[in-house]
Amino acid sequence: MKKRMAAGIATAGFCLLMPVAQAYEAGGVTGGGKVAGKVTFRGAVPAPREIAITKDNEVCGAGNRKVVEVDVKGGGLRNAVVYVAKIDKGKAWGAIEKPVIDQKGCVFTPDALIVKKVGNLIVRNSDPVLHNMHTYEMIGSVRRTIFNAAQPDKGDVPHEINAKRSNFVKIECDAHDFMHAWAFAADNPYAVATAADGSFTLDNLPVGTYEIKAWHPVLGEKSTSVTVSAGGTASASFGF
Amino acid sequence: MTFKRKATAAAIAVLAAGMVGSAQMGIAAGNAPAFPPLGPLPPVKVPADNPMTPEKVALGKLLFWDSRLGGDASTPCVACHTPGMGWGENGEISRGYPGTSHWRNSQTILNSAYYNKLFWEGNVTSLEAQAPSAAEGNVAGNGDRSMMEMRLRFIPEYVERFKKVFGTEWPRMTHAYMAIAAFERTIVSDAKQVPFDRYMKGDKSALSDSAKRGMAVFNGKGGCIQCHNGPLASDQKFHALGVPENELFKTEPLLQITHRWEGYQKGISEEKYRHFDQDVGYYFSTKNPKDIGKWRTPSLRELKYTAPYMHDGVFYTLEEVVDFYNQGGGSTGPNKSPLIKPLGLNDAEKKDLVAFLESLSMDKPLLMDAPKLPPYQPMKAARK
Amino acid sequence: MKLKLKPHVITRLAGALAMAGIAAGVAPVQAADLQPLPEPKFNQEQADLGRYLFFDKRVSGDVGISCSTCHNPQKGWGDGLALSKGYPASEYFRNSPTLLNSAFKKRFLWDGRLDGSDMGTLVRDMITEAHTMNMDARLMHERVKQVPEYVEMWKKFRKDDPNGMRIFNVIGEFVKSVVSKNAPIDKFLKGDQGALSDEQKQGYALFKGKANCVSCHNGPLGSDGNLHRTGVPENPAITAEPLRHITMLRHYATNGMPNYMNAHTDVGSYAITKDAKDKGKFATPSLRDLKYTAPYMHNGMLGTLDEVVGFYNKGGGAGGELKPLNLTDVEKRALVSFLGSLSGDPVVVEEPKLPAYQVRVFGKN
Repeated sequence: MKKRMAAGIATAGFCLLMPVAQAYEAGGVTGGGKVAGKVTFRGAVPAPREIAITKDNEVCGAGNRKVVEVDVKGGGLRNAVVYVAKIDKGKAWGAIEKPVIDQKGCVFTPDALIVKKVGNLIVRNSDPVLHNMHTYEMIGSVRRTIFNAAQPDKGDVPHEINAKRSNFVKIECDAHDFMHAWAFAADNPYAVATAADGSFTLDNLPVGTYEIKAWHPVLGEKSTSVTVSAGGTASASFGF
Repeated sequence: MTFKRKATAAAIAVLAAGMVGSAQMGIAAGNAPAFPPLGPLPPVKVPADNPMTPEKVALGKLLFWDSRLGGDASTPCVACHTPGMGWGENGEISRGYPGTSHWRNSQTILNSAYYNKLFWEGNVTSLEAQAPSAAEGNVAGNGDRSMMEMRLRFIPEYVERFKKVFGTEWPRMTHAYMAIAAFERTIVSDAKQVPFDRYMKGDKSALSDSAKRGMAVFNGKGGCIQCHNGPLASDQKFHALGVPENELFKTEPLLQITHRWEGYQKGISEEKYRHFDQDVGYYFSTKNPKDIGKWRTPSLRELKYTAPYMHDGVFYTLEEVVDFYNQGGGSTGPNKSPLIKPLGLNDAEKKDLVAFLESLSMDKPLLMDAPKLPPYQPMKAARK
Repeated sequence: MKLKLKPHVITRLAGALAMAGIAAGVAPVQAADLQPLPEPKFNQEQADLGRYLFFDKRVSGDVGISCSTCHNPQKGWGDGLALSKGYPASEYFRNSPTLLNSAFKKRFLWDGRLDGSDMGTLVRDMITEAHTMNMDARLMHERVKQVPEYVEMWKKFRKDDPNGMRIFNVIGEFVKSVVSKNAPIDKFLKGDQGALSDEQKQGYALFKGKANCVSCHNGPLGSDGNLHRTGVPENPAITAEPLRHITMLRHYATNGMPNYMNAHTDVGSYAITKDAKDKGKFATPSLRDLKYTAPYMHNGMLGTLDEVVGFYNKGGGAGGELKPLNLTDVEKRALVSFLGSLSGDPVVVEEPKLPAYQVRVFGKN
């Protein structure tokens, strides 16, 4: 907990610094509906970053690692996160409560995942080399270390995710500067990463009207409003 | 460090405003010290023994990105001085070498060429000396100098480039550091992109009204000009502000390890450093108790890209920084500078001051793509 | 550092006397021979802490490897590779020798540059060297202090906090405790005629006689602790793989060897002594526990004991000190069989569960 200057914090301009109140109640949902759609990208796709693989070549490969930050196929944007901005009650967390991220062949798998804002993450090392996962909560342009864990041995190590002020988590490996991934720290279980073609479905959403957002680590965020009816599928689309 | 004093009308007006303002700070107007005004940066000073050439800079850029300069090829210079992160690292406390943590905020390479005192403690006096501290420092690059040197010698493209630039048969680490320093001397603010610099060069519309008001606060009621002066916006002196300690030192084992280790490295007795409950700053360099908690004034340029702020990254926004100064700094440690007093700024003044501070940053960040790094090759026999 | 070669006396009479089953502990006076393994001497409390640190990866710079990575109890206390891996982003240019019985070595390291009586210095070399564990000693010391269990274990033998060079000595005490047991040769040397098979006895006779291994391979470890050149062929991986070649040349450079940039072979102790007649000389290794420590030689170029015996039989390699032995196939097999008798039971040490760092009180640290 950082000591913060009390004076002047609690003014409108500093909402960035206010801890977001979390009070999602997980339970069952009857008579809910879905939101489905696509996140698309138009225009020239930025080229992947190329980072030289300068160590552990027998495990990590040779040459350059292409770090694809904007992953587009046929206009569909992969690995954007579509989520419900605010909902107090709804379905259970499900698999989001038990996220696992693997370090295999010096690649984070998955390269984008959904985690709870405050919860656990199993970090797996499937490689015979040292990895050192370093996770950061992205708060504006600042990145606050969540954990920094040297993991020389194969196996699983549990860690706590604790994103206090933001939903965005950057994942890097201190031992391999070409390993990158993102996590979305969700306030509620209605959050999903888009598939390779940009499509997504949020299901089991109680009837109502919601603000739905699509966030991408590099491209930013877009938002729209949908109304979900019982048994129905509301459609939403986002264009970057 | 020499400053080119630009006797523009604006600068004189600013100085006059500062003198008027200083009366409010309790300094007798008649004896108000003249602080070097803010202004555009002069050309970078280049040391006579490390002249700049395009080839040297290009070589330095490769080395800056090359993780093979380091112990386990994980932590090149660019890892903690990343273009996309303001040429710093955007963390409170910088990450360290794997298995370690650093203990202070990573400073930006932008305009580092203008400092004659580098590091938060100001204990290194040239870019050429800073590079080895980082590449070989055990919580930074953890590189062994002779190992890094031998690695360079097995990269034929480096052998060629070093020969061209430095005339040696085989690359040497001292030259590698010189090349890196030369590259760093090119990472400077582009005055055409800095609203304040454009304003000082005659474009009166370059600063918003808010920023103009903020400039008056900066030179007057805020008193910032007392330490943040000259084109670099730093007097390069050492002052204590009472910045709060980062709470992470109380909760993170890796930080506690580094804190003790640094105390030993800097020649403090174990009895002393084990009782430090803060980062004592300039004291490490001088061993003088009146220097506990003092830090070298950083530049205020490019702040838009270099959050969070202070030696331990405790302030995430410029608003927080301004609030800190407005309340009269903090209470950590002795030796708080007498220049730090409550300022009595109202909300509008604070907002204006932040707008002015932001005008010292380029409109767009200075970005740079990673260069293509040359590979190792087996060494052929009988090289004469 | 000048090395003195001891003159060694070789007689076939010694072999005959040994065959006659002279009583335990009495070695023939004039002749070199194998001897039983002595009892290990080490400080148990220090070795207890040393065992943890031996397996603890936090003893290396980036927490990537531990002593046990290259000296793996499951792999004969070596690593089973021809050339050892080094620290991440480096590779090594020599074979990882077994730690078994190193308490009794006269010299450490393939080039024999460290004295066998100072285990702490060897440990320090391994931990602080750039291509092995790349650890700053003081940073290691601070890491050890951050583990309360380690501080507690330390207090069993010292009043202060874990510190500096002493930490290396503590790990050294554990290494001293890694000693093999129940090698048939020891039982035989102590008088148990049945401990060796007939084929092995035949091999022993050759060892001391026609093959004359005993001229260098004598004493409790089967090593005279001296440096010799046998002409083992170079391992091509060293010059084919830049990371290994880098480590080798840097080793030469930091030892002050002249003209190191043109070195393409492993010059052995020449890099240390700078004496031309030491080119290609390596320290005689122990012959104990060979069952577990293939491949053999300073660069792992000989994969099996059959290959080793074959190598010696043809008189070693070019430029070496050896002469052809003219052993028959039956004799070669007997010799290999005898060498097996120098291996004891496998020495298994489990990796303990390593305690985590804990937070200390900042300000009373």
